[in-house]
Formats: sequence, C-alpha cells, structure tokens
Amino acid sequence: MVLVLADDPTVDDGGLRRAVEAALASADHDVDVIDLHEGDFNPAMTTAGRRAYHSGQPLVEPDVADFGPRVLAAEALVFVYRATWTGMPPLLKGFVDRTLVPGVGFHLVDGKLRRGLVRVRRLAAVAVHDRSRSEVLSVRDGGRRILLRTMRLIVHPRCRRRYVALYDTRSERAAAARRRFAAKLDRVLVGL
Amino acid sequence: MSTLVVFCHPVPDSFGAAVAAQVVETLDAAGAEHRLVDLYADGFSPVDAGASTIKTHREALAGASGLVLVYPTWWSGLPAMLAGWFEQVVVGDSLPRPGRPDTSAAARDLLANLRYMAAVTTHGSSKFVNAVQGEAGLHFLRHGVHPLCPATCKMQWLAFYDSDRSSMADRRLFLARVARRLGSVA
Repeated sequence: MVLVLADDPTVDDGGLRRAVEAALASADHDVDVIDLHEGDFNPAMTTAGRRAYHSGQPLVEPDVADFGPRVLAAEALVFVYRATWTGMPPLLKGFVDRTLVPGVGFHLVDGKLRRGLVRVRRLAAVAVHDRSRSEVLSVRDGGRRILLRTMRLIVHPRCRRRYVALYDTRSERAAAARRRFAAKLDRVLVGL
Repeated sequence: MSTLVVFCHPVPDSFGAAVAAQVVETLDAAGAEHRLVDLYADGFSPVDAGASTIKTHREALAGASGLVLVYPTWWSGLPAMLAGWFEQVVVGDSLPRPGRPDTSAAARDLLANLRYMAAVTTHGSSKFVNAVQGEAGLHFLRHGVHPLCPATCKMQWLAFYDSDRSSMADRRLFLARVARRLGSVA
C-alpha cells in the first residue's frame, strides 16, 4: 500500500495523519508512506519534466524519480488531504501531475490511453473539508472527482474505491461527525 | 478596465504558448486592453507565493473586466500551478467561518468587475475520455468560480481535445476558433 500524505502536519497538530495512523495500526498492511510535506517536493510540473513527458523516461527530476517505482509496486493507493476550494491541495495535484506520467500511470498507444497501474485494486481518499457537504457538492468536489473517478481509467478495472470524508469541521456538531469519521476511517482502512 | 490573461504552461515553445499568443493577438485586434501573467515565467509558487505577489495578482484581478485562463488540462483538472493561483489569489484565507453563511465574500469582491471569463485549455485525450474522467476543471470553473462572478458575467469554455493525436491543421483550426469566439466577447 502506498499512503500519500498531503495534509499540512502543522494544522490541527497533525490530527488527520494521526487518525490515519491509528486506523492503520491495527491492520496488517505493508505501508509505504510518501509524505509530500517532507523534503522539498515541487508540485508544479517543471519545464524539463514536461519536455521529457513523452520521451519514455519522464521522471527526470530527483524529487519524483523514486515515486514512479513505488506507485507501480502498490496494490492499494490511499490519499490523505485537507480539501481546498479547487478540491485537493495543489501539493497533491502536483503529485498526480508529475508522478502519474506516461510509463507509470498510463501508456499511450497510438495516442490512446491504456491503464498503467493495473496492480492497483484499491483506491481510497481520506479528505477533511472545512465546508459543509452541500457546499462541497455544489462545487462538484474536484478532489474526489480526480482521485476516484479520473483515476478509475488507469487502475485495475475492478478496483474498489472508497471515499472517507469529514465535512463542516467548524460546526457545533463536529464532535459527533468526527467520531463517525474515525469509525469509518478504521473500517475502510482495515478492510481495504 | 482590462482583461487579465493568466497563462500556465511550463514549456515556452509549446502549443499552449501558441494559444496564449493567439489570445493576446485577438485581444489586441479587438482593441481590448490586457495584461498577461505568465505563472511559470514569473516563478509563481503554487504553495507559497508570498504576500506581495498575491497582493499584486489580486489588484490585477480586481481591476479586470475579463479573465482569460490559458492552461493544459492534466488529470481532468487544473495543473497544480494554476490551482495554486486560485487557492492563494482568489480565495486565500476566505475559508468558511461560523456564523458567516456566504463563505466566498472575499472572492466575490475580487471578481466583481468581470464581464466575461474564458478558459482556453488543451486536453491530451479525447472528449469522450474526458467526459468519463469527469472534467473536474470544467466543473470547478463552471460551478465553483463562475457563480461567484456577477450575474451578467459570461463564461466561455474553449477546449482543444485529443491534442495527443492532433495534426497541425487541427491546431490551426483551434487557434482560429479561439480568435473567433474570444473576439466576440472581448
């Protein structure tokens, strides 16, 4: 399992990643953690990276070079992030843009898309939204859309997809919602 | 009042750059005042652009009557760079607060003068594949950004699909379409 952490560990004292760690502790997963806040990962596709995109050796930059083989070895991908207006934080979108390149995420055969991550049979996104569920739905939740729907075309055709989300973190009812979120997180990650 | 063109592509000699040049040429031909912001050339940081840069971009946006976004669609959405521009410049710290139902008041103020906004974007895969993938970028602009603009603001979606298999003739046709459609609102 590759666990991609894109939440800011300084917000809420890293509460989100602690919740994920707690849920994973009881499960028997072999977890490879990619922490995008660690090191100096640059989310913007670089000029050199884009020029090499269709070259067959697209992972030319040192900060993404080892992400390709790690993602290709995974049978499950779990994304953890705090949702933003555009859906997922730019840091995570940058990971998707720069890592899931031709030869890793997909293959182009005569210009047609072919699946790259055929080993991946489990996809999960764990998201914390400050906004309410209706507000998130009204802007069409770009994070969920990209991670669970767009990605569907590149993973195993029968890949199971799970979305675990906490909404409206600043409302008065947040405590009960947090308990339900933690319970679902536990259930989904253990059973993944 | 002028048009703000936000260009986002890492490669200066790409088709995306040709599209941006066409946008600028079209605005010139229509006699529309414009300002081009090239996020890559300016070294804009999608995660931490700095207060003074954000202020400059906000002033440009608040004074604009048109907003044209030129970018490649990656993974059905905006590239991280342009997403970072929206997160920092347009919404910034105007996230929801208890007791304030309209969570986007600051963004509305910034977009208050827009008469039109246009997204000019290239997609590697076909329109069908993008429809299956969910068109996250189109949904974000149409349902996330456009509702914050004034009610009279028009939105144009100028998309070049299937660019991975396109010929020079297809590309020229698209540039002509950009000139025609954008020229009609600029």
